[in-house]
Amino acid sequence: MSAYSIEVTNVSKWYGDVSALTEVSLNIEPGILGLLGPNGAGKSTLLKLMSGQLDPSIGEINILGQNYHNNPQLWSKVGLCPEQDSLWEEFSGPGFLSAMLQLQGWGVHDSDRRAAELIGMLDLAKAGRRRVSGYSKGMRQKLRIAQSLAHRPEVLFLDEPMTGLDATSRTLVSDLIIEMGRSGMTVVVSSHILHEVENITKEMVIINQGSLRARGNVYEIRELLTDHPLQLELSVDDPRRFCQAFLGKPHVVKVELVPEDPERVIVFTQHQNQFFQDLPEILEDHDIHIKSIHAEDEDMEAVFKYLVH
Amino acid sequence: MASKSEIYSQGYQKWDGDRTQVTPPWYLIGRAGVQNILASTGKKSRMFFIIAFVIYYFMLVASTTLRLQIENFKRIEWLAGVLEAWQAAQPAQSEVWYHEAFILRPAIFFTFWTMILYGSQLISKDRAANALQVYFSKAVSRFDYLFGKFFAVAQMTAVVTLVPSAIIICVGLVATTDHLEFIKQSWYIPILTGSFWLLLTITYGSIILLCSSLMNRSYMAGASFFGFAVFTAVFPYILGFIFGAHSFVEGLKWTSSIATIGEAIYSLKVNEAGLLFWQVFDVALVTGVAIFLITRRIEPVEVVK
Repeated sequence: MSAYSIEVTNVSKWYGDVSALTEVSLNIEPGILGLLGPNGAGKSTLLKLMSGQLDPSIGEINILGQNYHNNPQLWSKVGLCPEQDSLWEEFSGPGFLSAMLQLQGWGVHDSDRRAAELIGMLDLAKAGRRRVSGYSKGMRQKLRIAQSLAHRPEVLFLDEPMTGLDATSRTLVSDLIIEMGRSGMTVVVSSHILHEVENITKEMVIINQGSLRARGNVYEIRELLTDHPLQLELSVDDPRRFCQAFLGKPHVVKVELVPEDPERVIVFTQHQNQFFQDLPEILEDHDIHIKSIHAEDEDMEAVFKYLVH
Repeated sequence: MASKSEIYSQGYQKWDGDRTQVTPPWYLIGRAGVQNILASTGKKSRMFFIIAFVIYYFMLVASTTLRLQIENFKRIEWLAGVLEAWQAAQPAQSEVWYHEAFILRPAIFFTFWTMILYGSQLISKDRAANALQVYFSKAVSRFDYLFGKFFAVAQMTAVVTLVPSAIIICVGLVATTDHLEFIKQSWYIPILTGSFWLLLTITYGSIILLCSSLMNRSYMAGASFFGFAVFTAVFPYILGFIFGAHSFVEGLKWTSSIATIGEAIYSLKVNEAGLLFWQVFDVALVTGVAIFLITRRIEPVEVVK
């Protein structure tokens, strides 16, 4: 069996004449993967394809080495938290979860017990037997997440899981997702909000206009963006001498002084590691003292911006 | 608020091995469909139906008892005249005639309105709530889903066919002294009623589920079903006017064709074989097309092209 839980091979999807995804290939191992992209990038389509909600126009998708086609047993190993509201309004929270578990092949007693466990875990117990139609937005979102993971799937797809959650609930859900990733599950989290995903995983796929733009750790991706040298902002006691010392280095593209602040200097480098290797020696040789150092565009936000725009 | 340690203590273990389905998904879907409808029905509406059925069932019990114990009831002086007039008005009939008269017509009437009011919610509510996406992310096939919805319809039609039939037979057994004779007369009636129940479930079910799968709002689905019934009652007249009378055109009168097939089931005889053939053909054709269209409509994600 393949080491990958999810194998997407040359998948394209068209809605009539509109192309939503173009020749996407992606292999996903157990752990947490963030699927990022702006609205309309194609990430929801990719998630729906991977979770078997849609069939690809061309290409192949295998989950745990199997295809969804005529294979309902595979669904027992997959969980999906859809973006849209999708609950049975007239059921209570525990009743809904129990029914969902029974659909996955669980017995009535086990389903009730597991539903009660999840209701407590996700802090929904206070709603009691109240109907889902009376739940708040955040409670509904937690219930959607609960139904997706209740049957202990091996592969879990979460589409915008933090929508509608307050700060406390976000932490709760983030911790839960991280725990699931650690336990060996494959969790794919789709979001257009960067810091949500960044808090959960550093491993991500960036998608835009229907095709994959980058894959990997945010720092690895940043290194690959040679068109956009990394910007490091430093505060030093002698910026001019600092500039002179670094200008000759091959990995440094340019160094800028900041007119508003006489101590600040911005270094544009292609190779962050090389810069940090050279830095102590240069500081010592030129007797320069450094007060602070800050990477301006090393975070996810910047990477995302460069890749998407 | 659940603490972090609480999550960790729950232990998120990976599932390993094959899981066997304990309860069939179609059963759960059918049960949930009825549960959802009952829960969403207003108290007044629910009470109206409960009262209507209590009256109907009470009438069944009373008339069955009266019919089988008429000689005893005649001993009541003030009732004797009325009963003699009632007896004279209707010739002695078999048990099957009694079933046909007291089940077939009321069943068609109740089924028609039950489908409009409740059957219309079966798929439309799922569509409105995006529940199809959740259903099909579980170990649920399209067949399970569709069969489950028919199961929900079957529960509704059972209330107007199987339950009254069971009442008549049970009261009959209690009210007659010669049980063996009664069983001889009526042993095959549950089979006929079962067939009629299946007929109503499949024919009315397929059309209401199609209407329900086409609309996100149940009242629109109910209105479409009503429109379909009116259209199939009127359209054959127009066709007959243009092309001349033909059994195929006559068979397109959907509700009356179902009633005629029901009558043929109960009476176990065919009056007009040619017409009945076309009625069965037309109803089967409409049902088949409806089921095919429903299968095309039950997609987890609605793709807008």
